[in-house]
Amino acid sequence: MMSEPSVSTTIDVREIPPRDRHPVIFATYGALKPGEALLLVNDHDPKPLLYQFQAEYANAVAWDYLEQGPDVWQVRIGKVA
Amino acid sequence: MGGREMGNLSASQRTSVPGAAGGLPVPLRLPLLALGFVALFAGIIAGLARLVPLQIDHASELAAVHGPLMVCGFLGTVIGLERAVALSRVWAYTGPLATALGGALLIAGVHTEVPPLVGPALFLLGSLVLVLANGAVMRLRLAADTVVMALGALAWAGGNLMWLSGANIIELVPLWASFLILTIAGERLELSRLMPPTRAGRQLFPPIVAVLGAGAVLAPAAEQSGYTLFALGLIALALWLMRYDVARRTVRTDKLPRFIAVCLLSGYAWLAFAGVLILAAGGIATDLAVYDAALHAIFLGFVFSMIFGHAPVILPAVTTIQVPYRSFFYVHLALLHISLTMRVIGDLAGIEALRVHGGHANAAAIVLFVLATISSAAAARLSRARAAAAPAAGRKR
Repeated sequence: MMSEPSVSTTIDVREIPPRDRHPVIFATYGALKPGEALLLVNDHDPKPLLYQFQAEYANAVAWDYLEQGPDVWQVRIGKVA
Repeated sequence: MGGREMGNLSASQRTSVPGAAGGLPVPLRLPLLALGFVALFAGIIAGLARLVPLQIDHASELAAVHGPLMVCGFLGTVIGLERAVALSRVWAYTGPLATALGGALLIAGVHTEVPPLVGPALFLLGSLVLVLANGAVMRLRLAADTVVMALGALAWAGGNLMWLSGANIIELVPLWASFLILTIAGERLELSRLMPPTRAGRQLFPPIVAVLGAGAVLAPAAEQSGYTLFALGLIALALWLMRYDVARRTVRTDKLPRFIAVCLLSGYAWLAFAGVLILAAGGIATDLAVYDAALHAIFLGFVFSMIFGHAPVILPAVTTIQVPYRSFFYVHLALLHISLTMRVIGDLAGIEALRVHGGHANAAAIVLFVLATISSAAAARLSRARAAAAPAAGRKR
């Protein structure tokens, strides 16, 4: 049984200037170790981001919603161990 | 966009049930959170019992555990729960379980015969689990912010150990305060890491934490120098956060991010004030007025400001209960700050009535926060139920 990835860092996208969001998210994800995750906090569903992650990392990315609106979305984006 | 079909998603990517992630099923987490809030309410009553003689049984025994109920029973449980969810390991939930039970036994012990060391021992256990949990995060990612949060947990454990060994709670206040302050500072540092402060800023942070921690550790043994260091650490940390926290920017946005920023910045102001007060007074327990003012500047002005701001984000992550932002939230935040100002002026100017009314209004602010949070959550649940029940109804415009 695969254990769930552990969140080691939180990115609150609302606090990042729009042009920096994509680089920060992907740089942070890139630095994760297997079994590690980042928690993404956003004000809308980051579904398009999921597709980008799949394009880059395929099934190595674990995408789990911890909160789904209406004001705040929180997604645990992990590197599968 | 890639052309991948949904069928290529792994099981975890198909997760659409919020909170299903996190190690322990949500229904098992809720009793722990509930016990945490029981400790909060008992802690508030205990605080009121310290302000004026309360006509309830065992008022003075309850009053004596005001601090432990708030710091360990309530905050220790909520922080422990949040960390366990993030770590997503079942063992990490033993921490908030221990502190939740400890709080319950502390309350029970006021009325019946409970061995007096059981509560403190459970709090120590809970804090040790938090140390391990933060250690696990550190091993995943060694950085200034993860180290700071681990130090916070260590400070909590140190204070609990002192209490278990029979120390007076007054002596371990700086350690317990450091637990909460470093936990919050670590989390803010983590966020600011993504938009690094200047090099000078990054270099300043570790020494500030060192001064704060050294002061907290020294204070029981060497009061004068310990409290001076602790106070300087508070002031320096507050100034650092006011200078480098992204809240400076997000306060110019709107709705929830703006509300969080207002909570943060006003909290930092109270932290700085507490430091100045302790520095001027030469200690925290030099007299009861200074003790009351400084403690509540930290634990109400700073810590509860943080709680008010972060509840709409942390509660859903831990419980899947959504708490949409309401502009009404500014009401209990304002009440918190106004009542605290009243209380502190009453303390320092020796106006007993102002102090007492301020204290009562503090309690009202926290109760109002709980009610507003429940109301927002209930309204969200109701509107979601309605939307689910009538998806084809559409809107006639």
